[in-house]
Amino acid sequence: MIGDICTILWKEWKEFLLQRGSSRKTMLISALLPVILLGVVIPWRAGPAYVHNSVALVVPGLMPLLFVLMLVADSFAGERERKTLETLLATRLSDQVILLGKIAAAVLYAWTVLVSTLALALLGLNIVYGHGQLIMFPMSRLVPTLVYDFLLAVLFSCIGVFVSLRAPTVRQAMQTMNLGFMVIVWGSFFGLQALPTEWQSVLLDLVSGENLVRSEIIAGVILSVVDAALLLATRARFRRARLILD
Amino acid sequence: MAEIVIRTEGLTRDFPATRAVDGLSIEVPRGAVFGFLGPNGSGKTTTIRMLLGLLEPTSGKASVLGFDAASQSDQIRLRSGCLLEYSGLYERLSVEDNLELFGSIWKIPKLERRARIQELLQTFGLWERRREAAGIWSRGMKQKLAVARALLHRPPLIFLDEPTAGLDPVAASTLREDLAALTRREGVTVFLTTHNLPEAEKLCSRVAVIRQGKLLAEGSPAELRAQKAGHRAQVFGRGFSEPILAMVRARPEIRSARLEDGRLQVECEDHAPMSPVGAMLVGAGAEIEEIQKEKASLEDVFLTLMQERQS
Repeated sequence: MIGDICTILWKEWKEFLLQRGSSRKTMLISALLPVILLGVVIPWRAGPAYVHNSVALVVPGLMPLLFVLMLVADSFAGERERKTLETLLATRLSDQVILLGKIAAAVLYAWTVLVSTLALALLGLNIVYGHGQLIMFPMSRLVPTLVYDFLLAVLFSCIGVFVSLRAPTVRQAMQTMNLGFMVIVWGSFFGLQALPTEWQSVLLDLVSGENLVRSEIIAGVILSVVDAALLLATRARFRRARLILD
Repeated sequence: MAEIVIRTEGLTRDFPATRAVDGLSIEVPRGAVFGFLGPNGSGKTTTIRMLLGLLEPTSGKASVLGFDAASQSDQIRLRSGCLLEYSGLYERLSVEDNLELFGSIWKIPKLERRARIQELLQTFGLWERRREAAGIWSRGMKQKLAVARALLHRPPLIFLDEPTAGLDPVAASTLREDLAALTRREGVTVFLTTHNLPEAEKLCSRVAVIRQGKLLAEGSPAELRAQKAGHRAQVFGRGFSEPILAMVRARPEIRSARLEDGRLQVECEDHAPMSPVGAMLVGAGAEIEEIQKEKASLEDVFLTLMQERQS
C-alpha cells in the first residue's frame, strides 16, 4: 500500500511541478524559487536576529499551504478535466490508495518545502553569522510551527480534495476554495474585531504567557480530530461509480 | 470448447432518463478479438464500465475472467488493461514517464519494466521520441501509446473503447495493423467497441451488435453475414429486360435483383451458386460477359440490423 501511495505521490508532484512548462529545468526552478527566497535571501539579509523575528516561521509556514490549495484543486478536478480520471480509476489501485496518495502528495509537499526552507535558513545563518555559536529557532516556536503546519496541510488537503471531487474543472475548484479561504480569514478577522473587549482580553490571555502551551495542545488536539473527521468524510465521498458519472 | 472470459447475463443499467444497457447477454471466448458494435449512444461504453466494475449494473450480472464484476471488480482491474473513451495519458509527463507510472502501478519490477517499455515503444515506432511530453503528440501517436500502456503488464484481457475514433485513415490503419500484430503475438483477449465496421471486420473473430442497449445479433462476422445478408453478384452483359429481371426475382435463392449502370445487381442467399441463374439468363436471351460474386460486408449486416430494429 505504501508503495502504491508513493507512486501516486510521485505522479502528483511531477504533474504539479511540470504544469508551468514541460522541461525539467522549469520544474526545478519553480520548486526551488520560494525555498531559496525564504531560506537564503531573506535570512541572509536579516542576519542572526532573523530566528527571533516573529514572521521568520509564520511566512515559511503559510507559503506552502498555498501550494496545498493548488495541488489539491488539481487532484480530482484536474484529472477529470484532462480526461485521465477514468483511466486511473480503471487500474488495480484501491480507492483508499488513490485518495491517500493525493492527500499525501499535498501534505508532504507543503511540509518538505517548510522543512527545507527552515533548514536552509539555519544552515546559511550558521555559516555566515555563526562564528562557532549555534544559531537556532526557539524550540518553543519551531515545534508548534512544524506540527501545526502538518495539521493545517492535512486540513487544507482534505477540504481541497472534497471540493475537487465535486468540481468539474480546476478553475471551479480553485474559485470555491479561494472563496472559502477568504470567508474563513476575513470572517475570523472581523469576528474577532466584533467581540466585546473583555472577550478579546480572555482570548489574548489564552494565547499568551503560561496559557500558551496548554492552548496550543488543545488547539492541536481539536485540529487532529477535525482532520480525522474530514479524512473519513472524503473517504466516504470517494466512490468510483460516482466519480465516473459526476 | 474455448474458455469463456467474459459472460454477461441480462446485464442492465438504468440512468435517470434512459436505459443505457438492456438485458445484455454475451459470451467472449479466450483469445478472441470481440467486436462490440453499435452506433453512438448505444451503450458500448456503459457496458465496458460495468465489466470493469466502474459502474454497478441495475440488474443482471457479469463475470470477467471468472470474477463477478460487481463484487470482485478489483480482481478484474488487476488482470486487465484498457484504453477507454479518452486516451487518459498524463500529457505533462513524458512518454516514458507515462509508461513508468503505469508500470509502477502494475508493480512490474524495474528492470523488466524498462525492457517492456522499450519493447512496446519500439513495436509502435515511438522509442526515439520517448522523452517528449505526451501532450505534444498527434492523436494517432497518443492512441498508440495508450494501447502500449494497456498491454504493458501483459494482461490476459484488454478493453479498447473505439481506439481509432477521430484518427485519419492512415493513422487508423497503422494502429489497426499494430494492434492486430500485438494481440496475436501476446495471445490476449480483446473486447473492442467500435462503430467502424471495416475495422471490426478486419480485426474481430466474433462480434455483437447492440442498439439502444439491446443485443441485436452475435456471432462470427461470417455467421452474421450468413444470417442477415446474402451474397451479392454483379452480372455484366446485355439484354437484361424487365421480364428477365422478374424471372430472376422469382427464383427462391434470389433476395433482390436490380439494374444499375447496365449491370445486373443480384443479392442471393448465402452459398447459393450463381451458375443456374447464369444459365437461366442465357436461356432467356440475355448475353453474359462476366459474373462477379461478392460477399455482403459486415456494414451491410449492421445496416440491415439497424433498419430491422427501426422498423
